[in-house]
Formats: sequence, structure tokens, C-alpha cells
Amino acid sequence: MKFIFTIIFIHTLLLNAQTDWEKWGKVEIDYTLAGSYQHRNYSFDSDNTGSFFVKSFVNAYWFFVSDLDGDNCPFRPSCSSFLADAVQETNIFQGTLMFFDRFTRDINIFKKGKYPRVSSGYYYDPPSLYTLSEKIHYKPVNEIAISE
Amino acid sequence: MKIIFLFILFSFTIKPQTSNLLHTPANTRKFADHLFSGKDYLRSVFEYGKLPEYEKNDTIEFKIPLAYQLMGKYDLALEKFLSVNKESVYYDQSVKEYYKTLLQAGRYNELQSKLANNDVKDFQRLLYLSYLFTSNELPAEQNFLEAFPLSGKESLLSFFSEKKNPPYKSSLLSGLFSAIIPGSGKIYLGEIGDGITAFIATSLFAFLSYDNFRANHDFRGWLFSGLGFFFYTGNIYGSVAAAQIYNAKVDYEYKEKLNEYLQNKNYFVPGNDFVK
Repeated sequence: MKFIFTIIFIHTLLLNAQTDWEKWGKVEIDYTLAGSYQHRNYSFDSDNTGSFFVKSFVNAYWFFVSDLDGDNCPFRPSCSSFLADAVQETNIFQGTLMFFDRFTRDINIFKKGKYPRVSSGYYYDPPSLYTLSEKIHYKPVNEIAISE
Repeated sequence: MKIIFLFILFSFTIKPQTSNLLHTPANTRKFADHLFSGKDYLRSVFEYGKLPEYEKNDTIEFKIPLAYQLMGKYDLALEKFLSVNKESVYYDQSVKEYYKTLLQAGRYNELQSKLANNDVKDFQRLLYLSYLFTSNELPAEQNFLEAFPLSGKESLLSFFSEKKNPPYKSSLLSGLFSAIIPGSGKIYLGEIGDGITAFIATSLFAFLSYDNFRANHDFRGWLFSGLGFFFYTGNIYGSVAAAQIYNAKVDYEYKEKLNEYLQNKNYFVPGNDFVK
């Protein structure tokens, strides 16, 4: 009888015991930051002829210079991506002018606090703001505009 | 020993209290009211939704869309305000809240078409306020101000004037300034750092180009003049674009200020005792 009671007792304990062990399982966390080069789009997919020429230049810059030099541009998209995107969104002439304006703003040492930010802290400054289109989606300064 | 084992065994099998006393309609209602007054609107709607039909009354029927409105779920709020029973004591108020929600949701054209011929003061106010957000022609200043109480007239007059004559900057002037003196267009827009940088970059390349041509380094001369040209034209382009961004900022800040003011004034719609 004792034996039966002991079995029942142990089973009762087991039934009522915590069973969600997976909750406490070991989790592998990757603390490495994703470099911007991991998101780079090297493709030439565009109907824009000027874009092909500029993209070749930008791809070469990414491959031979930027990936080795590191992630130094304080803006998102970075200046090189801005050039590629600007040419793709407009044309080679307008895109080049947009790039030189961006580059001038980049070398301004007093640019801090003038732009909204992406979640990783970089300044958010998309080419869509500079295409001279009718509607601008203005984002206030220092607000987290998008997550990156 | 058996008794001890039996005692332990049964002690484990006793279930926690499962009494439903806590979940009576009266208690659920009290809890929902508590959540509502604590501004936990999402959970209060959930609790109100648990109440059986016979427990629901005019107040709850009105508070549910109001909770959605306060959460910013405007589509749901509009739908529920429309379904408020015509016999309800809150019917008139729910109509006002419906139009207020339309204004909050930014559905200005819909509001304007629905209230175009309405002479009731509260509705007229909402109609006039909607004109402060759209590019449609503003009503006459006298008519506009007459609809509002004295306490709000001064602030509304400043919003009205700002809407009529927004402090925009000219993109043409900005581009022209940058064409005459590189960077001056940006300074005109308040971007002093960008303006000075553009001036230095353009001047530097112009000087380098001049200096190299003078020293008969033609290739470098052309290279620097090309770069200088792009910095110069890029800056003119950038000044025009920056003026557009400046004007978008003016619009954004105006709307933010107006929204904040109207929220504090409850859009000039009489408030409810249970939203305090």
C-alpha cells in the first residue's frame, strides 16, 4: 500500500511540477553588429541608362574602397548609396547634383542635430527629399525616422 | 504514515479557487470603468465587450467608441459612434464626437462635405477648424472668429493668419542667392553651416583650378574646375531643394502646434465627465 501511495505521490509531484523547461534553455545570442556592406545591393537592375554607369562606379567604390575602409559615413543611406539611389530615382544629371549637395552637407562639421535619425543612430537623409517632387514627407530633427 | 501520504496527495490535487464571483457583470463593469478612468482604454474596451447585452447601457455604448477615439483607432471609433442608438441619451454627443473624430483622423474633405450646410455652432466650429488643415480656401476672417468663444479667439487668429500667409521661403530666391554667392542660399534658409561649407568647397576648387592653370598644370586645372563646377551647381540645386524642405518643415510645425492646441481645447467640443 505504501508503495502505491509513494508512486502516486511522486507522479502527483511530477504532474504539478514545472514542465516548461525550454523557457530556461540556453540561448545563443549573436552580439556582432551587421556591417552596412552586408546590406549592399550590387545588382544593376534598372531601366535607367545613367544608373548603369553610376552603379558600376559605386560598386567598384564599395568593393575596392568602402568595404576595406569601414562604415564611416554618418548618413543613411550612405553617400555612395545616395548617389546610386538618386540616379535611379531621377536621372544621371539630377542625381549627380543631388550627390554633390549631399557631399557638401556631409563635410559640414556642424551638421549634428540637423537631421532625423535611424534607430542605429545614423542621420536619416533619403534622396526622396531632394528630388524636387511636389510632396515631401518631412521628418522632424532627432526623431527616429526608420529602424535599421 | 498512510494518512500523511494521503494528506500530501490530496493537497496537490486540490485545484485553485475557481469561483466566478470575480467575473460577475457588475464586477466586470466596475473593473472596466476603473481601467477607463486609468486611461487603459484598450483593456477597458475588452472588459466592456465581455458584458452580456442586457448589461450594456447608453453610457457603455458611448464609452466604447470614445475609448477607441482616445487610443487613436479612429476608423473603429467612427464605426462605433455611427452605431450609437438614436434613443441613447448620448446620441447628440456621439454625433459631435463622430465629426471630431473625422477631424482627428485627418478626413477633412469628408468632414467638410458632411457639414457644409450645418448651422449648429459646434459643427460649424469643427468645419472651420478643418479649413486650417487643408489647402481649400479659408472662410472670411470675421465669420471664422465669430464661431469661437472669446478665450480661443487670439490663438485661433494667429493660426488663421499663419495659414493665410505661411512663413515660407522662396526656392527661387534661395537658388538665385547660391548662384551669386555659393552657399548664400543655404544661409538664407538658416542652414549657416551648410552655406559656409559650400562656400569654402566651391572657393577652394576654384582657387585650385586657377592656381593649376597658372602653373600650366592643365589636367589638374580642368579636374579641379570640373569638381568646382559640380560643387557650385550642386549647391544651387541643393538650395532649391532645401527651400522646399524648409517649407515642408513650416507646414509640419504649424500642424503640430495646431493639433496640440486643439487637443488641449478638446476641438471646442464640450467634454465628458468620465474623460478627466
